[in-house]
Amino acid sequence: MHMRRKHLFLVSLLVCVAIAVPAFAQFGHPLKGSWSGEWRQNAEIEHRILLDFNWEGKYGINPEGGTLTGTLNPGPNAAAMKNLRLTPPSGGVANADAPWELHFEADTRDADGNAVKVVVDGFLENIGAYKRFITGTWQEGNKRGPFRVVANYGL
Amino acid sequence: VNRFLIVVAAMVATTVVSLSQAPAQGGRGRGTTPPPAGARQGGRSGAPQAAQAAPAAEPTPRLPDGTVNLGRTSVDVDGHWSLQYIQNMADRVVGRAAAPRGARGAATGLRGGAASEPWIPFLPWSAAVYNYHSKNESKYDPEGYCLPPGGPRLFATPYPMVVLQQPELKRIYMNFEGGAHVWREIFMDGRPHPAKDKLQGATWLGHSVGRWEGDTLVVDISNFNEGTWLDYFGHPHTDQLHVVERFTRPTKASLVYEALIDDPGAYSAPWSITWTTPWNDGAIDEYICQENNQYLNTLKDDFGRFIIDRGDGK
Repeated sequence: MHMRRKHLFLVSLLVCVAIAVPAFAQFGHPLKGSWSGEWRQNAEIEHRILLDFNWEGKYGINPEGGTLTGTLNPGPNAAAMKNLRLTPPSGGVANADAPWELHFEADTRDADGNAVKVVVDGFLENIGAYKRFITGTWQEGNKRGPFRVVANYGL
Repeated sequence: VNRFLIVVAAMVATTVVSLSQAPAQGGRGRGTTPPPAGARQGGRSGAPQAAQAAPAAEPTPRLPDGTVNLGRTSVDVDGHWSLQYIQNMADRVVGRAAAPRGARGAATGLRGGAASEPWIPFLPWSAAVYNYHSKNESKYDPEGYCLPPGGPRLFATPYPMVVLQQPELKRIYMNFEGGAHVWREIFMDGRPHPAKDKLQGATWLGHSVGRWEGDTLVVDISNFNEGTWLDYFGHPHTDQLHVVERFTRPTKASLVYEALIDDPGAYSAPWSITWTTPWNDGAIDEYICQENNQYLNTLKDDFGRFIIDRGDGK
C-alpha cells in the first residue's frame, strides 16, 4: 500500500511537472537563469556544478547594453564570476544557430578547502527555449576536463 | 487591338482591386489566410465569422459623463474590436510606412533578421536571438502553443477584443479572444505599480495602471515575465519591459493603438509602434486555442530531437 501511494505520488508529480513546464520557459536573455551539470576530471571522477547568471540592461551603459553577472555554485561556497563574456555568433541569419562563446573565471576552493582558480571556456547552443546547454572545457587549478550544463527550465 | 486593350485594362483593374483589398503585410483579416507554420495550433469552435462591412463613420461614442466609450454603444447591437494579425512589429514602427505585402513574410522565406530592420535598436544579444528566430521561422513561438501574448502583442493577435469600462469602480477590463481567452484589469484609481518586493512574481500580461489624458486612455504596464515574444517574428523582450499604451477612438469604427516599448534589457532605446483596429458590429465568437494542441509534441530542437521526451529515445 505504501509503495502504491509512493508510485501515485511520483506519477502525480511527473504529471504536474509536465503540465507546468511550458510556463517556465523564458525567452529573454538566453544565458539568464540557473544551469546545472558536471565537469569530468577523468573517467572516474565527476564534479557537480551549478551556475547562475543574470542580465541587467541599461540604456547607453556599454556596447553590450548591460551587465552580465554570474555565480559559481550558489550557496555557502559561492564564487562570483570574473571576466564573464558571452559572444553571440556573427554572420546574421545564415549563421544564427551557431554556438555562442562563453568565458568566465572564478576564485573558489576545492574539496580540500584550498584556494583554486576556475577558468571556463564553453559554447551555448540550442538557444530556442528548451534544452539549452553549454559544453566546453573546465579548468580548476591544474585539473582540466570537459563540462556540460543544461538550463534548469524548459522541457 | 481594341479587344486586346480591353482585356489588358480588365486585368490591370482586377489586379488593382485585389491589391487594394489585401491586408497590410503581417495583417490577417478574420477568417482569411491561416497562420503560418509555428503560429498557434489547436482551436475548435472559434471559426470567426466573415468580416462584416465597417459601418459608416460615426462620431466618437461617449459615456454619460463625457468620457470616451471604448466599448459597445448599444444594448441592441453587439460589437467588438477586430484585432489584426500583425506578425512583425518592425513594420508598424511610428514614422515608418508598412512594408509591402510579402516583403518579409514568413511565407516568402525572406526573413532578414536584425540586419533588415536597422530602425529597431537591438542590443547584440537580442539581434542574435532575433536572427535565430528568423532562421528557424519562429518555430519556438510561445503563442504557437497557446501561451498568452504579452504586451502589445495582445493587440496584434487576431480575433475579437472587447473593452468594458467600469468608471464607478475605477476599472477598465479588456477581454481578448485570440489571446487565448485572457483579460487585463486596468486600475484607473491612481494607484502606482506595486513595489518589486510586493509583487508575487512577474506575470504574462504585466500590471496595468491607466489614466485619461483628454480623450486618450494612457495605460502604463510593467512587471512582465519573460515567457512571451513581442510578435510572431520573435522580437524578444526581458522582464525589464515597460510599455506605455495610448488608446484613442476618433470615430466609432476605429481604435488607434500606440505603444512605447521601453526595455533596456533588450534594446538600446525605447521605440514606438502604432496601428488602427476596426470596429465590427457583431457578436464576439468563441475561440479556443488550447483544445487538442499538438504543436509541442512535434517540435524538434536544433539537433533534431523532440523537445518533449516521448519515451522512445528520439
